[in-house]
Amino acid sequence: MTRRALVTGGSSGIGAAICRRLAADGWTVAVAGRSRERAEAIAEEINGVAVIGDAADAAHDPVAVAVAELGGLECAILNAGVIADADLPHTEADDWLHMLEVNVLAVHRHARAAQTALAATRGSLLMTSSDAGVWGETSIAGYSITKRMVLALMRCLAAEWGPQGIRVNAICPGDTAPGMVTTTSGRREPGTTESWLPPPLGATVRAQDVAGAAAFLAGDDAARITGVGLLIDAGMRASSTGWQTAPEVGR
Amino acid sequence: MTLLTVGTDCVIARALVDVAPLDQVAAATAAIGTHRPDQIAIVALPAPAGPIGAMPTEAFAELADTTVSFALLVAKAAAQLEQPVRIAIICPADAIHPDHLDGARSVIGAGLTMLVEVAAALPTVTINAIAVASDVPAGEVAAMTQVILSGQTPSLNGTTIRLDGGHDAVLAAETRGEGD
Repeated sequence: MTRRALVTGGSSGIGAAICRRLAADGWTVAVAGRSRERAEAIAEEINGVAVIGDAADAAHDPVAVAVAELGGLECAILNAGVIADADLPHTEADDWLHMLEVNVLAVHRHARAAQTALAATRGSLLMTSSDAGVWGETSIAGYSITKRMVLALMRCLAAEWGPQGIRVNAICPGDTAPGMVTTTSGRREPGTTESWLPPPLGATVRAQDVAGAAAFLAGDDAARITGVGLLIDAGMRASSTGWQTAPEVGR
Repeated sequence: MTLLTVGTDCVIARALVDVAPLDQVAAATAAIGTHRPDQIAIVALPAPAGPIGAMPTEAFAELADTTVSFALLVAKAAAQLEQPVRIAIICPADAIHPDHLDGARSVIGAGLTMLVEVAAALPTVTINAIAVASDVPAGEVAAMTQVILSGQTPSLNGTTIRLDGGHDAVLAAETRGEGD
């Protein structure tokens, strides 16, 4: 039987790569995103369905739409996120509240919405956190806080819903191209990879690298893995000075 | 030395000062601008709220608003004073190792631990958190808070100190001999 997945934030960056990877692995995917044009393009490309809406809108229920369209879910990947490029003194209250809403509260809301469908299939939830949620970054203070909260939420739900057969995990991407830096409109200025510090492996993490990790955690090979936040950062969080070991970035 | 206490009104907050803390963001940030305190205690100790998967998102949002958002905006106001300021955030014990039976407090506690980590690098701010178990006497929490705020340990910055009698040092089941 074909497995069915919902991917929020699925119309660009890491989310789009996850949609493509799951489709290549045989999943039928509901691609949720704010942009109708982008979501429908990805859905058409992978023979999935598009779910249009903004994760910041509490009335938006991509889970209900996906369940109705696909007939059920084996996996919900809650990937939609926003970032404000600011340290604490420069974090605007509105930006903080927007990050809290999209990065944490929407994840909580959509996870709860998916619980019944996932319990029915003994499926899994996957949340997108960040390497900044593991080891914070002063320059993206509010974002780091929200992603640490996602990790705690993931662990709590893994324990709470484990008896129902629902696995709950998180991926923690490092600087990824294409990813948030290059695709999120909430950022005041478009990011570039030029300022990124090179990780120990020397190579920038690619969206398809993150998608591979997501596909693993969504799949049967991870049947006994729950409550885990998996770093995909080319070693950046392995050491406080790991960035000094690589000669260049972008290989 | 000016100490400002903001956040949850509870026995611990009352042990720090004998008046109710300021619990509204606008009042707290205004007081920071007016009094320019060099010590701020942020008490973020909501009542236990049970498993987070069973909690409506609206209730979780309210909890996050009165704790993480509150602390963030207070810490931001303190950082903007551009004078040395020491901050102590008093938060639930589950901030470091989550307890799914009290999931909402675990998640907001996690956010508060990250707040002290990302704020610790700011040049005028020294900030730490105390993760407090529910059975710790208020006087002991107050004593630890005063150590943090006193400046006698200036290298202590960006950490979360567990004040729980060692309960969280190992997995609870192993403590009871039930683990493998």
